[in-house]
Amino acid sequence: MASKGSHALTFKVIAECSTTKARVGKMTLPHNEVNTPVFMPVGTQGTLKSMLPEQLKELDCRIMLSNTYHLGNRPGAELLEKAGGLHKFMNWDRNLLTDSGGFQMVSLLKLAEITEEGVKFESPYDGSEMMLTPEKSIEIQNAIGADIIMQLDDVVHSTTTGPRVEEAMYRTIRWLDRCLKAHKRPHDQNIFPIVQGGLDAELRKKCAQELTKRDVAGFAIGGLSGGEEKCYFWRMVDVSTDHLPSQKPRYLMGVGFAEDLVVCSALGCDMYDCVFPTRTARFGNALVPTGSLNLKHKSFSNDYRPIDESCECSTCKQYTRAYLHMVAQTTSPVTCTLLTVHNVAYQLNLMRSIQNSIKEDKFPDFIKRFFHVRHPDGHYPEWAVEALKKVNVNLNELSHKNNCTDSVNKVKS
Amino acid sequence: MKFNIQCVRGNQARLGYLAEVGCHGNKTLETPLCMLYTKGGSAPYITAEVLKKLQDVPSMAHMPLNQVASFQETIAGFKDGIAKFAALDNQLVYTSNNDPAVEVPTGYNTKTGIGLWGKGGKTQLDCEGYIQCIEAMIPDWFQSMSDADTDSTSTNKRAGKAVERTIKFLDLILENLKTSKTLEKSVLFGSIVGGYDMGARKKCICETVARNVQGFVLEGFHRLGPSTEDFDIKQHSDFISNIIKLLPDDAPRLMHNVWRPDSILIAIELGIDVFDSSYPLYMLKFILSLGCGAEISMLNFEYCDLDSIPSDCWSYILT
Repeated sequence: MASKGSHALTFKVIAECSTTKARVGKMTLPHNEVNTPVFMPVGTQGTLKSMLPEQLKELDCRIMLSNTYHLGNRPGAELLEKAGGLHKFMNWDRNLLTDSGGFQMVSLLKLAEITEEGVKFESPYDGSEMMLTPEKSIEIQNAIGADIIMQLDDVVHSTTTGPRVEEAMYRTIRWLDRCLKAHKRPHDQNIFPIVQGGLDAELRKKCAQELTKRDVAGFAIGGLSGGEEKCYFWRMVDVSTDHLPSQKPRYLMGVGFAEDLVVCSALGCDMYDCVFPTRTARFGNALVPTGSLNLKHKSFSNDYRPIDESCECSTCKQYTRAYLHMVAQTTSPVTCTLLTVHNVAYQLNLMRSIQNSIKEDKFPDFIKRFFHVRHPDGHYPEWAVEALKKVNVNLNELSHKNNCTDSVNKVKS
Repeated sequence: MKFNIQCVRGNQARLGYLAEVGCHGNKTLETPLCMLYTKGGSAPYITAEVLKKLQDVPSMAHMPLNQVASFQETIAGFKDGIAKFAALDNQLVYTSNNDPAVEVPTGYNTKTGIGLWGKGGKTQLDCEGYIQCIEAMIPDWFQSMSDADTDSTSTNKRAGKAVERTIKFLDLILENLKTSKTLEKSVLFGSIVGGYDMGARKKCICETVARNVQGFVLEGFHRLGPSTEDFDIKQHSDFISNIIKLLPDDAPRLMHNVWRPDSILIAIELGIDVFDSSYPLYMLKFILSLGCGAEISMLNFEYCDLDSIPSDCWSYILT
């Protein structure tokens, strides 16, 4: 059923980890090439809050995400179309991905009702009843013009159990077919279907297999990262990647904590998005290899080091923790920008390090060092230990210490 | 610092340039001059990286003392002054006592100190604290501590008190400056206060001019903040003109909160040389809070114009 070469996306796996399921890919999209695994910063409404597109380019960000629901409300599909699409509207000539809008309907709106036709909800603006159908979602996303667009899926809360999960999974497949049929721009936009199935491995497997029968350029894994137990989360990711074709990209939706990115890359995921790094920046938190720093804390008032000595971002190159503490405390509006730049740089650097270690086939060592830096006491999160064991990496093995000394010696010599 | 006036036009409008300014000996500034308004040492929303992308950025950054006074130890610990601390190494810095964009409620001004409207409300800053702050910040220009807590409702008695205190502060500051190595190159601007009492103003000018200051800040007309957008400089132009007549020609004159372009033109005509730029931030907040309906609102998509903003008035629009 699936035919090749008709998509506005090519994906080439250029390196594979010999231990885990991790791989490095080159994904070519209408606006530039993207190296995977990739983290996509979220610019909800056509802008990443407090950063310019130019600054994102300087960090070598190649793809970012925008939300269909928000853009559809304001400025609206009509105006975006008139402006020549979102790329032009926001002055971003690199890749974009839009979600279907369905998730926001369910998460933001109390009155959403899901029927076979679509998601029915009450407009938060005038209270009128509105319906988001698969066709409508694609119509808006066609107007926005992102390089990757998402099918409308039937989202259930990640902790829901019972027949509703199965119903949602099958409906998601039916809605995919409607989305594909309604798609007007297959020559320059790619629809990704979404693997659903709640926390049921069998349903996930079934869904992945069904979706794979369709002619699509890549796949997303959805319905996770919504407050479920981590021990279920990783198993669902694992079973999903097991049943998705290896030659196509896999996008794990809504995931972006550093530890999740490392583990899920080991489980074979290629793309991620999350508001956390940019949102936490707005609360005064800076991401560092050991975790995060809350710069509002008094202890930074006389700390004249950069956030992270090894970070090359413009914030770390020019500003001290003490200065960031001062502006965070005085709620100077520049604080958000400075910390957002750093946190996006942190995420992108992490992904580059993951890519490089996979290319050198040293990813297992990278994982061990990464977790050791975050948990020097050796108390690793249980779910991460389990998940990594599944892909043949034993976090509790001490080999990483030797590797650390090895690399230090290398630098010295 | 040298102030060269190239020509005077109309009433008192002066075209000039400032040379050998403060700690940056090689810089020249043209007047009338607009300063770069900052919050906590950075232009609002604009990092040093983004500032480099902008054209015609004013060379003089304006850093109000009240915003950072409670971080005196943090700034002092950095040792190289606030310009470098805020990653604006190439900028000159002027410190005013208060933030023109924020209204200062009356009070907390005494014989020994001035009220600062900062983090956590209004606090008092005495001369010693003031000198410590200035020494930590190492500005190129700094405004002398002043009691500017007067407006059109103030009595002549209150205006006289403001002058008395301000001159006393000036003496204390000058005394401290004699021994300050750090502030060797910094230029002191004397504060001209006294509300709307010409007698008090005259006294203030007389005493200030007799002391060693190289520029003047005209204040004490209002309590700063958004309401000054409607401060009618025209209505007070005779009064201000009479003040300026008493000032020496060879020193720059600075006035805060001259916001609207038409007010700026009038102020230039009266002989003012230096202005702050807190108005754009106020306008941005105004646009954002209004959402729609304003004639130039960027948020009302019904009126959305898809042509680009004219390149000659382009500035980064940050929302």
